[in-house]
Amino acid sequence: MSDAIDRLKQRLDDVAAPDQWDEVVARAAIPSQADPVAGSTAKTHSRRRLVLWAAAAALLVIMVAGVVVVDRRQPTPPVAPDETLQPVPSIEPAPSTTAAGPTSTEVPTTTANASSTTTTVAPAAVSNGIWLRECTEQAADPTAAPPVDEFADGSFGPLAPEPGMQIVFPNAPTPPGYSPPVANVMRVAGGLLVNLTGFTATESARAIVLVNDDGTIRWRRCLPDLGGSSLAVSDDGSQAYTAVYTIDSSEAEWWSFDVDTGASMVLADEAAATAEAATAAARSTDPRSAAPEVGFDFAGAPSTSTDTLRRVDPAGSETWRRTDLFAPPGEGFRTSLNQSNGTDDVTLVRACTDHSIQDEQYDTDGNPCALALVGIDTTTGLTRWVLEGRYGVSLVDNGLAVVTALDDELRTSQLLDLFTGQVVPQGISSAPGAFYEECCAGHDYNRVESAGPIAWTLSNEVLNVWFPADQPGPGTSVDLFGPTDSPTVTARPSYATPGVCFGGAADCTTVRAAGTGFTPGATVTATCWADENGSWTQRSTELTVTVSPDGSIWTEVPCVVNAGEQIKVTIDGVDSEVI
Amino acid sequence: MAEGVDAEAASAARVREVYVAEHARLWRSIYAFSASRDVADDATAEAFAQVLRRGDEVRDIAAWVWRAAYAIARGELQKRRRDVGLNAPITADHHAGDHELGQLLGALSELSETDRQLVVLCHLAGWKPSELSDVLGESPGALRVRLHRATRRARALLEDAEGGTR
Repeated sequence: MSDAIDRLKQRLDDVAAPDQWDEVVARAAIPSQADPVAGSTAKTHSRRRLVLWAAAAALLVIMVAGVVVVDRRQPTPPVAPDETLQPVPSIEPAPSTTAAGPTSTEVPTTTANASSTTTTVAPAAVSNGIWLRECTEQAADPTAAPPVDEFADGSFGPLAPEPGMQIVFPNAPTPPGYSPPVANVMRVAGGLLVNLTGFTATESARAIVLVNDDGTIRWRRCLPDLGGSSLAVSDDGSQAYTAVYTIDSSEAEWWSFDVDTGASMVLADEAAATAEAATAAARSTDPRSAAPEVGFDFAGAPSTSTDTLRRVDPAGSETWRRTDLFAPPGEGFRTSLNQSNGTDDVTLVRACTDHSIQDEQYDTDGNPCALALVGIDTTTGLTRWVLEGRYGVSLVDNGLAVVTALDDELRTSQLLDLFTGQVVPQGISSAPGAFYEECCAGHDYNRVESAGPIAWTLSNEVLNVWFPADQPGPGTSVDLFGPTDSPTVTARPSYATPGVCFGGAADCTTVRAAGTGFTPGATVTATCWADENGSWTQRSTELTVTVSPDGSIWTEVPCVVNAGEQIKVTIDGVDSEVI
Repeated sequence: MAEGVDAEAASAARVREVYVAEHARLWRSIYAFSASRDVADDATAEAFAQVLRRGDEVRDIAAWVWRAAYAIARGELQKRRRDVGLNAPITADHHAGDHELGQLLGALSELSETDRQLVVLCHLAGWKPSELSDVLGESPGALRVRLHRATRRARALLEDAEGGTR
C-alpha cells in the first residue's frame, strides 16, 4: 500500500533531470572566488585551520566585489547574480564558527598539541529563540576534587522505582513545523554529558552540559550556529568528542572537550581521526544493534526468498539458520548483541514465529504474523525460551532486557532475564510509559539508554536518570541552564483553532508559553494579550497553571488574534516577548 | 607535465563516474527539497563543478557532492527568504506544467528545512538513516527520532495537499 510520500516519490521519479555535464565542465573551468578552498587539500588538516581565515577573508572580499564575480560567472546562465556566493559549500568550516560572542572568558580553551588548534569560539551566551532562556557558559570549579565515579565498577541490573534525577530541558516552545531540540547523552566518570541541539529554519544552537551524579553542574558550554549531535568519549574517559558543523560547511570539524573542565579544542590530523573513530564506535555499541555486523540477521536462504534468522561469522559464512523464525515486519528492534554470563550465551530476537497464520495476530502493518520474543542460544541457534506476543524492546544490557507489551495500553515495561525468559520482579518502575520506546525511538519520543548500572530515558522535554535499586540517586530536579534569579516567559504562536474562542465567536490561535524561574509548586495564571492601538487587551481566559518542581511552566493559551496584531503572554505578572 | 594532465584526466573521470551514477537522483532530491528547478539546476551543477575543480583532494566524491549541493541549496533558500521575508513560504516556481507536483512540493516546504532535508534524503533519495548519521553528524538515535517525527508531519502535509488537488 503506498502512502502520500511514496506517491510523491513516484511522481518525482517521472521528472526528467537535465543533463548538466557540459555546464559542470564550464563552471569548473572558471576559478570561483565563491569556492574559497580551491587549491587546499582535504587531507592536510593543519592547513585547513589557516585556510579557514583565508576563507573568511575571501568571503569578505566577495561581499565587496560581488558584482565583479558575477560578471565572471556569466557563462553559467541559470545562476542569478551572486546566487552562488552566499552558500559556499566548503571543506573548511565557515568563519561563522569563530564569530565573536561576548568576551567573557569563564571557560578556558586549552592549549593545543602540535597538530590541533584551540577553538576561537568565545564563551558565549546563546539564545537564538531555541532555548527558553539564555544559555550561559559555566566553567568547572578549579578547586573541586576530581569526581569519583561510584558506579564505575557496576553493571546493569534492577533499577530504583523512581528516577534519581530529573533534568528538564530549557527548550523554548517550538513553532509549527520546527523540530524540538534533540538530546543526546553519554556517560562519563561521575556524571552524564548532555548535548542539546536545537533548530529553527535558519539557525541551530547547541548546549553541552556535564551534570554530576549529585545533580550539580560540572560545566556548561553554549555553542552558537552549530548543528550535529554526535557524542563520544575517549577510551580513557578524559575527553568528549563531537562533530561540529556550520550551516554552510560540508565537512565536520572535530572538537574535544576536557571532561573535567569543559575546555574545548578543535582537533586536526590524528586527533580528529581518533575522535571520528570513537564516535563511530559509540554508534555501533548499542546492544540492540541490528546485524549483520553483530553476527545475526534475517536473510533469504538460497532456496527461498523468505528472510529467516541466521548467524554469520566474521568472514560472512553462515553458522546456523532458523528457518522457522521469520523477519518481523516494519521497523524497530530485531536482534540484540550476544549476551554472556560467562557460561551461557544468549541472543534476544524479535521474530515472526509463524508467517502463515490468518487468525487474530496481525502486526501493525497488517501482515499475518505471530510475533514473539525469542531467547536463542547464540552458539547452537536453539531456542531457550519464547515469549509470545507483540513486544517493544527498549534496552538490552548485561543479560537483561527492558521490554514492553504493546497490547498493554498503559505501556508498562518489565525487566526480562534473557537467560531464563522470566520477568525480574520489581526490576524497573511500573509507571506507565516510563521505559516504553516506540519503534525507532520515535513518536513523542522516549529513548532508553544505559551505561553500567545507570539508565536514562529521554523525551522531548526531560531526561530522567534511573540509578540502581540499592543506590537510588540524589532525587533532585536539575535545571540544565542553572538556577535563575528572575522568572522568564517565552511564547510562540502554535496552531489555529477554528470555532468559538474567548470573548465570543472567533477563531483562536493557540499560543504555547513556557516559563522558568518560578516558585516550584506555586499556582499561577497565564493570560494572552493583544496590542490594540497601543493598549494591551486581554484576549484569553486566565488559565491556572501549577509550577513544576524545577520552577518551570509549560502551557497552551487559546488566544483571539486578529491579522497583523501583536500579542504576548503573561504568567504571574511576567510578560513574554511581544510576538 | 604529462603526469599532471593524466592525473587531472583521471580525476575528471572519477567525477564523471559519480555524475553518471548520482546526478539525476541528486537533482531530483534538491528539486524536492527546494521546490525549485532553478535551485536544483544551480546547486547540482555548482556542486559537481566545485568537486571537479578540486581534483584529487576529495576522497569520497559522492558524499562530498551531496553535502555541497544541499549547502548551496540551503544558502539559496536563505537568500530567497531574506529577499521576501523570513517567514515567507518557499515560492514553488514552475514545475514543467505539473501543477499537482508543485502543490505537493509546496506542501513539503512547510516542514522546517532540517526536517525537509531528512525526509527528502531518506524517503525520496533513498539514503538509509544509518548512512545519513555520518553525513549529517547526528547520532543514529537522534536522527531516527527526527526522521520519525518529520515523516509523520510530511505525510500529513502531503495528504492534505493531495486532498486539495483531487
